[in-house]
Amino acid sequence: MNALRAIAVHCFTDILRSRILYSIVAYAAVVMLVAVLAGEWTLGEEVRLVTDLGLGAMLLFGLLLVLTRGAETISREVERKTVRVMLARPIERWHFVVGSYLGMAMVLLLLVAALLAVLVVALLPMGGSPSWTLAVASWGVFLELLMVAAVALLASNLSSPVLATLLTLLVVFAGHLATGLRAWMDGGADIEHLSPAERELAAAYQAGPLNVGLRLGYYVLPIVAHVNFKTEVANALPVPVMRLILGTAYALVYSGIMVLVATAVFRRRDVS
Amino acid sequence: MKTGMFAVRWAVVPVVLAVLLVTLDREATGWWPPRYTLERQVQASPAMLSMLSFGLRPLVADYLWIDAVQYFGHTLGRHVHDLVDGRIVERGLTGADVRVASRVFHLLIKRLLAVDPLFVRPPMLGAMFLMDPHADPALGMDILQTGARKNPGSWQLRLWNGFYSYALLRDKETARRELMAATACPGCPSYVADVRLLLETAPDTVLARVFWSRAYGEARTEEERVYLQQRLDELDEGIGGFGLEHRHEHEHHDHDEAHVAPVR
Amino acid sequence: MVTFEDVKKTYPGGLERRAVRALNGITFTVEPGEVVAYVGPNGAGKTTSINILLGLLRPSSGRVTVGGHLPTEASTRARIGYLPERPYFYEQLSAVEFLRLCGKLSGLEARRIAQRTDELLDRLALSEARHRRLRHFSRGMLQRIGLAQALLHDPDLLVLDEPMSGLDPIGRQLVREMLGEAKTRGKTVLYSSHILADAELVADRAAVLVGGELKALASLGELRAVSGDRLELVLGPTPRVTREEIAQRWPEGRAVGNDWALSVDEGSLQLIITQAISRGARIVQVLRPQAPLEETLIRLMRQSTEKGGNA
Ligand SMILES: Nc1ncnc2c1ncn2[C@@H]1O[C@H](COP(=O)(O)OP(=O)(O)OP(=O)(O)O)[C@@H](O)[C@H]1O
Ligand SMILES: [Mg+2]
Repeated sequence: MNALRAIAVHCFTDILRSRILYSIVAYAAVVMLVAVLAGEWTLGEEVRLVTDLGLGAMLLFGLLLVLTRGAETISREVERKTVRVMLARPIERWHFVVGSYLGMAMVLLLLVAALLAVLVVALLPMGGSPSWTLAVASWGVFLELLMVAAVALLASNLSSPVLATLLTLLVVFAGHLATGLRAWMDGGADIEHLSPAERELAAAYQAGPLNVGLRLGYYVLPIVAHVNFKTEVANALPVPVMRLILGTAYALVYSGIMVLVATAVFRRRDVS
Repeated sequence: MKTGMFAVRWAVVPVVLAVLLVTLDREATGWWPPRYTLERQVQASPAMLSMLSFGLRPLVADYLWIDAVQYFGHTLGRHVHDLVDGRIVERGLTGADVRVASRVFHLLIKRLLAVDPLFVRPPMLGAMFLMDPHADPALGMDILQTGARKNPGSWQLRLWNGFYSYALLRDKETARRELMAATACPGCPSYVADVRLLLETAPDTVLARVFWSRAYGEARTEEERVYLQQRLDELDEGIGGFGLEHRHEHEHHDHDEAHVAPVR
Repeated sequence: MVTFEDVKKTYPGGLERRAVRALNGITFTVEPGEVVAYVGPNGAGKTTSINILLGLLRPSSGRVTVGGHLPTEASTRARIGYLPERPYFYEQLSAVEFLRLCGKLSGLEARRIAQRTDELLDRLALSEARHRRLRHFSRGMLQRIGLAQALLHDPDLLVLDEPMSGLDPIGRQLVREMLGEAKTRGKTVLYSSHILADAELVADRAAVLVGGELKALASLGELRAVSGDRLELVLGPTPRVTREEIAQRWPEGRAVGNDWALSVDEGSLQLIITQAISRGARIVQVLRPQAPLEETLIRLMRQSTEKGGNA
């Protein structure tokens, strides 16, 4: 346990040192700028716009961090050979994998919390009262980032940093797309709004293999929609507690499985 | 001293570049500042937009809302001051232009609703703008109904839908039902119940005055207040009950619904 | 203490890489309390076998045990101090932070870590730089901090991959001293080195690895004896003959001051002396040199590669 904590803390400080602070400043700048301009544009929806944008930017900055640092957790250490001094010590290999992940998770939690604080500060003078839903939505962003980080961890275990970044991005995008596709094609979206080409695609989907593929993908991909509470915040609606609990459980289980697979892969690996 | 010069030299580069790009772009495409034309080429369908939104559907809806507001501001909401026979007159769009602009604006709001059906303000304000005697109340009614159908939990949409159903379409049954439903929605203020009672008993002018002044009190932006003030002024001047119906009657026959329907 | 049992390692090939057989079945044992120098030419497989010993690599077949346990068990590694071949450490950490991390991973208490850190940094002349980031360390300083982390938890077995590389003479002297100390305290040491003069000074035995095979594992005395059948004959110039003329006749020798030294085997000594005298040269000296380990090993390596080439 001590070793696990030491590695997690090491990874945590390691990532913190890589100028993550700048991204918080950049975030604050974006949010403040929009907050100043928003009134002009939105006819009374500036609180909503700043909230949506704030959450979107939170996700973006988190993703940037995960894609740049998370997707190279393992491969970078192996390539730079820094991992040798760790693994030569009396720790298990899974300590290293899980510790790296926990370090990343701690950074993400800190980042999301910090950005949420900035967002609340930006919203206050606009008359936006900080609501629980905003905190819940930020928690959702954190959970999403957690899942992406788990995917990135596995990817970084399988390939080089650049490839791992691409792979992670692809998987995350597919995860987003899967929800939209399914809703769209299962008729969740208004058919009247589909273009002819899209209607054809929907028909093809309902006919066969795409359908099966998507359903399969639903179990493999991170279905981040389960932890997406942004619509609720935007429209000042409450998030059902059950949805929150189930979403959280889903994200944790998914991430857990990914980390587990990453551990199994890393256990068999030659690092020299 | 040295670093100062260095900074200046490097600051010049982006400035020159920006000026150059803006000039070129204005020549080529005219996207800066945005040049709003009446016609709109709409590319991605809302289904596609929300699918590609990376889970940020509300943000995409915000963008569509800003875009719609901008469009409105440059077309229907735009009043040009002109000098005619030595007098200053205010001129907006006229005739066919109004119809085109109304339909495009209506389309923009419908697209938005397909992306985020729970967004209350666009159908509410959008309807309000289209209800303006200078625009197209039938289309306003349409987005209000669409909005209320997609977001049945919103008391605002129910209230406005009910109110306009009565004021515009003289459909007392729908109005009663919608106001009833509105009072059952979470967060509904108590005056809605009063409006419902007034609907049964009071003359139009009283109902209208209560409704408009309540709405005025809740208005968040200058644009809303201007519109509502106009309604209240009309009441003061004794024009009609709601300041809408004559316009609607007049418009109704030369406006066929099929025109509105094929919206993507 | 350390046992290699027919360890083979093949690095798997890929699309555009060929598989590399790095170890071809090596078997040897390092006894407790012994200092063994691991020598061999570049690419012989020293680092590969050391990495297997640490559990960083898996052998393709065979096995390595430390005190009877597999290195893949964490508890086995608790007894090993390891210096990697190239000292790539977390460069954003300071010396002290790095050692603290290492100590924690070895399960040491904070106070013990602090104490050992002070001792080792002092010993390795890094006290000045204790709060400097490793990024700003010179090559030799990194080597020193690598040694510090290897020694931090006072392990029973030290596995050092080229501990002398990058060090200045004082540093090398220091390492020799530390190895000597470790030996007197009953620690086992396995270290690879290309600097055989150092190996001669500290090691009990040397394991010679060439081309993934163990060529010799013997005490240094035994290794030197292998080279015993050659003699050195030193010829000097006289008024009758200059050194250049001597050198022309026996070009395979080398100049020693004014004289010319030849390496000859015992059988031909008599003949060459006779020839030299008849040409007017002076016999300065005939001696049986204690061949330096370096020469012995070079010969061992050459033999093997030639054999390997013929086979
Ligand atoms: N990761 C790897 N993949 C493929 N081949 C490798 C790998 N690492 C080492 N080799 C090959 O294995 C052989 C042994 O290498 P190793 O590093 O063990 O040699 P060494 O004895 O330590 O050499 P040196 O004295 O130069 O350090 C070499 O032919 C090398 O090219
Ligand atoms: Mg080596």
